[in-house]
Amino acid sequence: MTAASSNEPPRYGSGPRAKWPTFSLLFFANAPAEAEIGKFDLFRASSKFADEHGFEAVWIPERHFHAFGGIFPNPALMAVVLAESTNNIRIRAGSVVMPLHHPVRVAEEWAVVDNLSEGRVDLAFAVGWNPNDFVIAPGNYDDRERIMLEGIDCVKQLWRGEPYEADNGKGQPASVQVHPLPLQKELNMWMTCAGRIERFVEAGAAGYNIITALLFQKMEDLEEKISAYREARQKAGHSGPGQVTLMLHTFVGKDEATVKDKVRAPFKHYLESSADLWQVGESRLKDLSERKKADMLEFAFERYYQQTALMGSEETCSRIVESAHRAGVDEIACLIDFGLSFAEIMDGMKSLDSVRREGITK
Amino acid sequence: MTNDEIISELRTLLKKQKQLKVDVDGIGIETRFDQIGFDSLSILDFMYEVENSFGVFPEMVELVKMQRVSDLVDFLSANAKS
Repeated sequence: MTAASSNEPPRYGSGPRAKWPTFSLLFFANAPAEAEIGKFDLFRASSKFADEHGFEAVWIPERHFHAFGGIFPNPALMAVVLAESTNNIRIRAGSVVMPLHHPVRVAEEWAVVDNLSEGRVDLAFAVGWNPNDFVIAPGNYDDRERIMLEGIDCVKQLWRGEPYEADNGKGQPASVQVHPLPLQKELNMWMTCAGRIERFVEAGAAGYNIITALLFQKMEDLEEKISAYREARQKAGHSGPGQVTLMLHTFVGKDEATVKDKVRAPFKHYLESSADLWQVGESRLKDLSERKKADMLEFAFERYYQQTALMGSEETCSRIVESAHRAGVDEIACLIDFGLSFAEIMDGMKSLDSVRREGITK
Repeated sequence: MTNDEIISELRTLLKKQKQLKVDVDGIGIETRFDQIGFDSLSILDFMYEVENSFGVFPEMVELVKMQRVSDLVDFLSANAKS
């Protein structure tokens, strides 16, 4: 473990853009929620690899109630594992679903992790989209956007050690402070932007970094939104271009054909279970005819593989990273756990690291 | 079949796709698929009709690459069985 630094960690997004994106890991885990030994083996092993090889961060999601990503209901818990088992890598919530939490608890939990990790915490915040998640906080669903924005402001203040003022259990006004105080004086913050350009502009005006995905948009559309984000940032007087993090399903291998063959079945299975979440149009995937269901999955696989994934040979993937960088992306958050085996994923990490290291020579 | 005949037949088939909100007569060789407003369900419905008419269905890897009507016309021109 390194000694605690007296210097503040980097202000992500405040400096000029680098010539190549940085690389991080992001977990989603299409793993069944049933009890089974070894669920978090990949999380530990790949995070350790990333830490030892100089990746920027590990992003941990918050997902409830579904086998699709359901082994990560609380990113702060996994962050403690990383605080203890890694030395250098940034530890990021991707994202805290703010309306599902009390801001005091968010500040407390992550301040603990910040201390355990010697100041390596960064946080992204999301608004929450699945109504079922709000069984945790049913009153917060309708107004979730406002609640998220207020919650983020509150976390920011508590992080700085400012008091929290609210009525106590007896209805009397109380003023409390969060303990422990975090090591970092200021939090690096991201806002999750799904597709609507308004959210990109909001995040820019507020001075946050952004994390996004190619689920509801293409790479070409993203460029326009990132420009709008940066323009909003500049207009509001925030220094630096902001950091744009793009989530991409990732698998890099030695040659094109082998990679495509390897990922086909697990990625299609992954898409099938996620279609269950997204609901294609009016009908769910399981209500379609066998042929149409098979064709839809094949079509989705081809489209994702060709247009929205970081999959293929090192050369192909370099070109994809380059086009992402041109569009304004600064960090690739690699979603590696979409269904390949532990051994295959760990093997692919070496090729992924080669693509990452192109940035070192640029 | 000439390209014009192919496009004419494609327009007829598009008219059958009731959920597509597009002026079918305005669709030409350079019209992009995303202008037609296909999603992954409706493009398959359309392509099944195309298969009935032309006797051929493209590989998914090729279908995904098609951006415009001209790409589909080229494919049908080269592969159609009627």
